[in-house]
Amino acid sequence: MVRAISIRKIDGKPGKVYYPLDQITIPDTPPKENEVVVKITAAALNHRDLFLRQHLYPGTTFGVPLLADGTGIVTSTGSSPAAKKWQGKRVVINPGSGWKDDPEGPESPTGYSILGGTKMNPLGTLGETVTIDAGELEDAPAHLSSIEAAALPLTGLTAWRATMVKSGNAKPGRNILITGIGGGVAIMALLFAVAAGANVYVSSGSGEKIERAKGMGAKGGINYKQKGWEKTLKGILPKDRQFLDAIIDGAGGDVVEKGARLLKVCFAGPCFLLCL
Amino acid sequence: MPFQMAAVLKNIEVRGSTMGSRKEFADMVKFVQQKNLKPIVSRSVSGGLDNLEGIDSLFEDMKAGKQFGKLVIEVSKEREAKL
Repeated sequence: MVRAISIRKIDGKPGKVYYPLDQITIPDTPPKENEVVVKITAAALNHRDLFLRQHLYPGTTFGVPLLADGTGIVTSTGSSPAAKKWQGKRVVINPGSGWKDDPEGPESPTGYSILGGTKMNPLGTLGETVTIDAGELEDAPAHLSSIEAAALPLTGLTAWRATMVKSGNAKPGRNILITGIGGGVAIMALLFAVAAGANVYVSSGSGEKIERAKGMGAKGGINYKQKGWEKTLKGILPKDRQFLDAIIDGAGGDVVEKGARLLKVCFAGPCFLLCL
Repeated sequence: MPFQMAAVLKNIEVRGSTMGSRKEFADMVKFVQQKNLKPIVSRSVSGGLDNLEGIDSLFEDMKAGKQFGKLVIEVSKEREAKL
């Protein structure tokens, strides 16, 4: 049997209840032809996992291992060459399945399903091992510790698609505002956009978080709790580009409404407000 | 989220986005490798699957919005996993 952690059912209404963690065991099935067994070294939380404990996430269920983010080492494989090549490798796991490469969205008729704690997918990373299709693995980047590698998959993927693919503005000279810096997706969006050469600005309710973001390459930041923050933001934008090209927003609130006023008039070329 | 006429006149597009494809996952991991990027870990706990208290405390960080970066559980030591 494989040990894992799920949530345990107690009485309570969605939003009011807080399901406790539960140690469970699940059957140890040998890998199928194209599957591998990953011995998990580290797993990471996402906001969805808190929502699961509050029964606010679609498909919330009990007895399915929690968490979507995981890294580990492949300890056994099925018989196919595609599975065998992973033996002994240090890997990160794709946090969802049912979406191959369509730029518009998931192809699978049964929909996209994320790992961890739902009826839609029996797998989750908070356990001793995960047995999964070999096609869902990537080599863990060598410069990352197992704890850092576990921090990458879900927020990295979401930030990548929003910032690097859909915004169309992660390029030198473009001004991007990332709201709610501190959250996993926002921080990954900051790392990606800075690495791509964009001018990145951040917002937060915490001055300390803004300073940390500057240390990671943000050009500046504004505290949304301060009145007139949109004027402050305009003041720190480059003199020759006094507008935003994109806003990556996972926070909502008036950041979107007021920040949108700073988006350029856009008759040609992309200017997006991406709400995560 | 109110969407005002001013935004319409500016041709602003609002797009929802979450997760990504298998291909985008591969592209992302490759970029992280090439650019030597490090995800930020706010806090991690060790002690594996027996440390329920520690794992619970990470959920508390998230509830309070205290974190800057990710909350991570070390499930097993890498050198032991290789055995």
